[in-house]
Amino acid sequence: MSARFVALREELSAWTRREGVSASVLLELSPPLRRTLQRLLREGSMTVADLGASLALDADESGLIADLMVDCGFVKVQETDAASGDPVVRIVHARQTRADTAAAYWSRILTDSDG
Amino acid sequence: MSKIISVHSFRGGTGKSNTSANLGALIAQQGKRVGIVDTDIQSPGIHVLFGLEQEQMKHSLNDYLWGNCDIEQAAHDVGAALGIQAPGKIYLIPSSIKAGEIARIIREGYDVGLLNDGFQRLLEELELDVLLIDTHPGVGEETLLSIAISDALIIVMRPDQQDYQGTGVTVEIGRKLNVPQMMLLVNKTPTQFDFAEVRARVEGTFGCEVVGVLPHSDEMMMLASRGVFVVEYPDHPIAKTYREVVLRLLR
Repeated sequence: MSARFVALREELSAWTRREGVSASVLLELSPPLRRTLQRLLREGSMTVADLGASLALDADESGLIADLMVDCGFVKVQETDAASGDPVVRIVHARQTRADTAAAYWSRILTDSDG
Repeated sequence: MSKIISVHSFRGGTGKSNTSANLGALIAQQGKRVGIVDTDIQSPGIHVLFGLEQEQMKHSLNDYLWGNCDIEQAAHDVGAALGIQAPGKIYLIPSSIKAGEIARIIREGYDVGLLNDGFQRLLEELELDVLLIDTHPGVGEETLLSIAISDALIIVMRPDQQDYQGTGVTVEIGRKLNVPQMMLLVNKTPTQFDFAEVRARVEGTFGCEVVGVLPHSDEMMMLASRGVFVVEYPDHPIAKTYREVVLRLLR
């Protein structure tokens, strides 16, 4: 297993599940996960193979990380790519209101500034 | 490949909506299909620049967020008023200017995730080349989301100490979210200032490119939001600077 895989597995395993990805959640993630989820926010979905490529993981590692991302509530897998037969991960948007998140993002910003 | 551009300022009154409107108009004049979303739901204003009256708004962004319509139904073609010719198009998705609806948004909030769905749908349904997001000042979830999905972020600021501090926060977030293209636009600069020095000071402070330093303009004040400046004053130095910004954005 690669060092990248081990780091991502640790990060995702420690994550307290929240349904969906919000922008303030992105700020809490490591740069590789953040970049990949930002791409998913823009594109909506990608194959597990593309997810692995985005995270610099091999095929076996990609599947395991995709499963962990599902467990975290970031993505869901409901279909396979017609051409490759590869599973497709689809972003799950957090369904929050503005009022819900105000405290969260300021807390994040202040924590980062302090740190 | 379509491009999402967020126009943001940490504080209100910097000329953010004016910047969005002027850039949108110039991009559409180049034959591009442009959408502008007013996500400043609590204090909407950009519709005024396009001469869009309340009674002309069949639907607004608020209606979409409340599930009353598809987002493209809230898109108003405002190109004719600006003299935009095919294939150029410019659509405005305004926020409601009805006091009761603004109060409801402030009271109840809204599902921020729907915004992203809406942005993507606008790109597809209206076949947009460029989606401009006129953000709410400050740093809220909808602003973070806009920045996170943007190809470019323009941060508008005045040469003012309060703006300096707030701009630093936005720049930091833009960096953290790896926005591919981030640029600062200094607006409402007193004409007595040395513009080259302002540019150097701002670039030095934030380590971020200043794409233009715009003067405080009596013509802009006289226009008083009754139109889009680059359409009314196409030969003005401010219009020239906006054109340079567009060139950078579309490069």
